[in-house]
Amino acid sequence: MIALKNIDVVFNSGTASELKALNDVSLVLKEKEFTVVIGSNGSGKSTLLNVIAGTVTPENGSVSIDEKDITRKEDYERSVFISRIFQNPLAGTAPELSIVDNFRLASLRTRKKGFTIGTDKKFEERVKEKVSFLKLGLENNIYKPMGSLSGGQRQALTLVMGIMDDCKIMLLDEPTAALDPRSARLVMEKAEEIISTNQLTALLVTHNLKDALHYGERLLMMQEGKIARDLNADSKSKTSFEDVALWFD
Amino acid sequence: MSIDFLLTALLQGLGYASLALGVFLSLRIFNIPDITTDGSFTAGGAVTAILLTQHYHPLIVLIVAVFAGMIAGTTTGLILTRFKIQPLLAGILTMTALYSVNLAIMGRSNIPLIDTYDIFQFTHITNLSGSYIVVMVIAVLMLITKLYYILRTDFGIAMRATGNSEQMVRSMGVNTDRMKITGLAIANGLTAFSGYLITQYQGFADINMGLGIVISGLGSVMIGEALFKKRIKKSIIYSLIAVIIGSVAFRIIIAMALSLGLNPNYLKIVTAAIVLLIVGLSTSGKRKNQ
Repeated sequence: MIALKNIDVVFNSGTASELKALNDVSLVLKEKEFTVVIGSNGSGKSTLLNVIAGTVTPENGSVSIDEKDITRKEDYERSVFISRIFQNPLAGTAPELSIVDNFRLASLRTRKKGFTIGTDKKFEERVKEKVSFLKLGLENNIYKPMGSLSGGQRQALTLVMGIMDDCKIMLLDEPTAALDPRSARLVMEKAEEIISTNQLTALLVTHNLKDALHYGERLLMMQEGKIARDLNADSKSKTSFEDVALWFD
Repeated sequence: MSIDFLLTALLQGLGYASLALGVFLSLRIFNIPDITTDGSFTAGGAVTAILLTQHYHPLIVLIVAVFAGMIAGTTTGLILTRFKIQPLLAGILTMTALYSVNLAIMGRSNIPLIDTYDIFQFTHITNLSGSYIVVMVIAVLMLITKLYYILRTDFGIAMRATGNSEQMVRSMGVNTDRMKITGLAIANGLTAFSGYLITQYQGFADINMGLGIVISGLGSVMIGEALFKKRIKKSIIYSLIAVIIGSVAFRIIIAMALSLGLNPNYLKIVTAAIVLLIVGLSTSGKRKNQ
């Protein structure tokens, strides 16, 4: 369970360009619930995700995961709880490292990176098995440098890397925004599959209203730094694309 | 060219190889242009000269010299991460401060090593050239095998990823600030080790011995990359070997320039020109490929 209490986030505090990105936001994300967040640019939806990820520190309020206060924890300390998928499809992987090395790092997300060589035959088999889940044929090329793959392939691999180590929470920040329609569909389908089979608590920020209705259980709409609408699975299923489009007018 | 001439260049190349590996580590693995090098190289030399003249065992001196370089690297790393300033500026600050520190360590601007028991005598090989070769080759082999091992470990993967995609490694639970400090410490430890070897090889330490030395490290890395273009993509071991060969090739080029009658006063400008030439050639090659 993720709990945000009275979160205020102010950018450029005290200057003319001061911006209140989040204004007294409180939110509880239940365990194993898949929540989708929509909202126009500057509504605070990405900030909301970043407050949970730890890349934005709130002015006021607290963040906790399973009753544990993590407000002051750095992003790299929160990796123990959280897997992240970035808007930039290239950001989740290291280009000059091979697929295997990338996966090795991902398999140690919650643990110490020690002075032993962990990329042995057994580990390689594990990577092949995980990669073959994507059905992209990459399992035969696990020594290729990440940089030689396309954005869609890398984003799909980032998804799989997210569950190489213990994972309960996955944060997806507009994961398909920079992808072509076909890759975007692949990434969203695989994301859905990974989230449901692993029973993850997930938060997806998206601009794609069709995705927002199609995926996930709960739907949030952000407006001017506040949660303007909060729909449970039931009312979400009764909402049409046209309804949602009207919210933006 | 005589054999003697080539042998000298080879020994120098191997002596400076550790420095080139240090530059490779900071610049290529961590993507940080670190010019602490000039100061940490001299620091290694200064510590070596002062301790050897006080008759400390060369292996103890080795440890202290490398440690001195690591402190220098840690300082740059701390400035870089705590104050969030440009790596180049952080390096210049430490390098400038080190000039005074090195002078304080040495007590004067030049210390000759006369009748000292050094690492070359430690081998008990009476033939001096033979001893030079044995020490330099063993040193380089040890460095390469150690680095090759470390870079393949889980920690090494995290190191390589840090210079590659900072956002990614942080999301994988790596404290990138601490990683950069560690990386700069290791890089400057390697540089100081070069200072340790070269001081004993040339028989003195001088306060200006590190002047512009970062450029020769940079040149070595780039020559190596130019020579091994294709292979270095395949395995990190080729990158390391390329750096060593680059370092030797760089010294041969310099020695050739001197043998053609170059006035040693112009050595720095020639060095800069050579490096500029290599950079120019490698970037124009890239432009054509695009």
